[in-house]
Amino acid sequence: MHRFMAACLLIIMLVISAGLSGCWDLEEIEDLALVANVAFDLGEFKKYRMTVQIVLPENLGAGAGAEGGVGPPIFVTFAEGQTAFEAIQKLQEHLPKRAFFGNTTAVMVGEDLAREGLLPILNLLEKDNEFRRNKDLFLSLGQGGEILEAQPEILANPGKLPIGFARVLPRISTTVPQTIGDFISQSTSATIEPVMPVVKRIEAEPEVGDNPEVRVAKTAVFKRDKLIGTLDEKESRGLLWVLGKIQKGVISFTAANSSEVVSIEVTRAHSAVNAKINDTGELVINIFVRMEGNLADQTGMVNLSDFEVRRSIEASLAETIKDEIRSALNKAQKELKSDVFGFGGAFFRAYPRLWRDTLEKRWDELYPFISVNIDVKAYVRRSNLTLEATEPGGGS
Amino acid sequence: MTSEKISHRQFSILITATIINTVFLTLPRRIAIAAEWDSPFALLLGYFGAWLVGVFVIWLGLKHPGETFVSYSKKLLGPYLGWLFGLVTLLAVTYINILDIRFAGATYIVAGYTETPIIIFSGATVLLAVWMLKEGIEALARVAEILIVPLILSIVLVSLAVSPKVELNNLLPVLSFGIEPIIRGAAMAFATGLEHVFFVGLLTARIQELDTGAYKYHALGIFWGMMMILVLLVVTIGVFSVDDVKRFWLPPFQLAKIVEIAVFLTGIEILLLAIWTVASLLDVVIFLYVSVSILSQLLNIKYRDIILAWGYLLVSLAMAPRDNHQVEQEFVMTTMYGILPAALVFPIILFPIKVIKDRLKKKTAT
Repeated sequence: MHRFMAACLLIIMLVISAGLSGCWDLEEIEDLALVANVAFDLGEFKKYRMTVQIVLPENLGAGAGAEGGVGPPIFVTFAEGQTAFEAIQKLQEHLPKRAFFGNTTAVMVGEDLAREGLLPILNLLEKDNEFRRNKDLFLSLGQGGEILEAQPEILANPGKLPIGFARVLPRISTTVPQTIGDFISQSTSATIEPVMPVVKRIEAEPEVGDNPEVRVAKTAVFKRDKLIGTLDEKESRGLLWVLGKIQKGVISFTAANSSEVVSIEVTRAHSAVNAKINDTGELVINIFVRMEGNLADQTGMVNLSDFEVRRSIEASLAETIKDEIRSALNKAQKELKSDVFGFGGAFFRAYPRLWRDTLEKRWDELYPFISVNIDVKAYVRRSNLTLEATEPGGGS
Repeated sequence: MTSEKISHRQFSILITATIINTVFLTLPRRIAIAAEWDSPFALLLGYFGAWLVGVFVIWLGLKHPGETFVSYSKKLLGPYLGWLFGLVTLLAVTYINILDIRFAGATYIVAGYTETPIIIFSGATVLLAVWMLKEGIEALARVAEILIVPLILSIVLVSLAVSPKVELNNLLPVLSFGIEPIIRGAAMAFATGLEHVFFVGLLTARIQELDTGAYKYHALGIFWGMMMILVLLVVTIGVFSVDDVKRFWLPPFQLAKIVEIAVFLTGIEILLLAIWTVASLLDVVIFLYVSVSILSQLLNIKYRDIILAWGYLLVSLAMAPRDNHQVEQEFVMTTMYGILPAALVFPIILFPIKVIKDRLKKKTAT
């Protein structure tokens, strides 16, 4: 028993010591440059430019009188290479610490590079042991590296800008979040095309107050791994409905038979996309969306105690959603001809052999002409803390 | 004959360890290549076949109590053919053992320990395995009893942690391309599952109070091992899609890389790697035991006398493959063309010979 216990103890110690010491690979955290975010663009001198945003922990939270440094909390630099990996190596020529990508939260890609194709640089992010596939991916209008230089005042650590957006986007549902891994999967798949959210640097914008430096707008649409266009906010939400990725968000529309604008807060949504081949051999897609929401706001005095009024609001809501889906279809299916909805996948799952034998090879020519039926069921479940709207002079 | 004995429960746990070994890291890719969306069915069919062959081996073991397959195959096939069968199994198992040792080190390198020479990890694993085997099969069984717990827990916890990311669409369509992909995948799973039968052929001689209960514990061992691989297979395909799983060398490691618990807890793959080191150790020690036992019985010497030299030789040979592509290809080749035919000797040749011999014996007795 004694020997057995000693053997177990030794095994545990060996396993733990291997993990802690790192053997030949031992590195102290002080010797690492912690890369918060990276950006890829077309290079000026070599094929690719890689920009890294390095967090300087000693400068984080350094206000007046506080201990620590007083410089900016991030350091942004770039290097170029024939491959992304070579660019990383080149970075080290002017970076006295090893660039560590284990904590990297997001990747920005520049517009020009996206038009050429992203797989050559994303390949590294999947192959390398430090990067993670589930990190967020954004397209930058203009240079990707410019986004990393933004220092919005709202964030003490500007390195958290992309991850902040990634957390907010599902709540507003105005673009489609994307991860590195999913983008690679979709751009190598024949059954769906990838999309990703678009971010841009802004100097000043009339719609907003103090310059927030960066904003998310639109959704980038790809064909394989090449950027071919964008969807605006309405089209983006139409896409989100079809993909079943709406989590939260606000839909505003004019209520039927009135000029009153009603805002519905989405609380729950679900969608199903079914592929069918009808009796005449026509390829048909049936989209079914079911959503629930709260009446969050209204600009008039619609009588919500009236059953008919409540149902008419739901009918208008369903029509608004259909309209959003139709606009997404018009743009992506008819104009850009990119299967961002995954209709190919629906046909593959419904008719696997037919897909492999025929449809897959002819998908690019068939896809724009597929008939799409949309069925939306919308329910407004509650009007939050009030049952009636405020009415001027309505009280006794 | 050694007096070392293990219980039925230990026998079952050792079978589970042999089934899981490091196969759970590599088999999802190999099966996905062969069976694509039908991989789960192929896995179940393949392991059912492997269990069935194991039943024949236990039956033969019950007919030759206290004897290993090396010993009774000489009786059934004759001394020369029996010895030749032992030699063939030795070659197949040793080759797998060498690749396992290489794999034990390669996993670390891929996970980011790029500066550390591979021989450090492989060598340390083999040294530990040799030391364990010096203590005998009883010590190995007790160590397996302890180490199987974190191994199974790690598989279950990783699968649970990523389960919200599973997309049903990635798992469909199933059973849509006929029987062919299932057969292809099942052949791969069957050949891999058969790795355990040689161990069973040795262990039946070590089970305390060997009786028909061995069938039950063998089935349990196979079932739990197979379930762990099945869970990982379904989860990896569900999270990544078939095409991605085909591309990854170690799909479950990619799975561990995307685990996020409460947003902030990430990077647990290194912790899991430490636990999965246990899997490599169990894998290496079990196959080292099988190979050295066969060798010692072929040469009529005690395995403890040659284990250190044998381990040293295998570590040296494990450094021979040029790259991980070669290791992966040779794993598949050895399993399909080495392990599979050697293991099929039990039900196809040894079992009928034993049945015929017993009948002839009965006839002459009457």
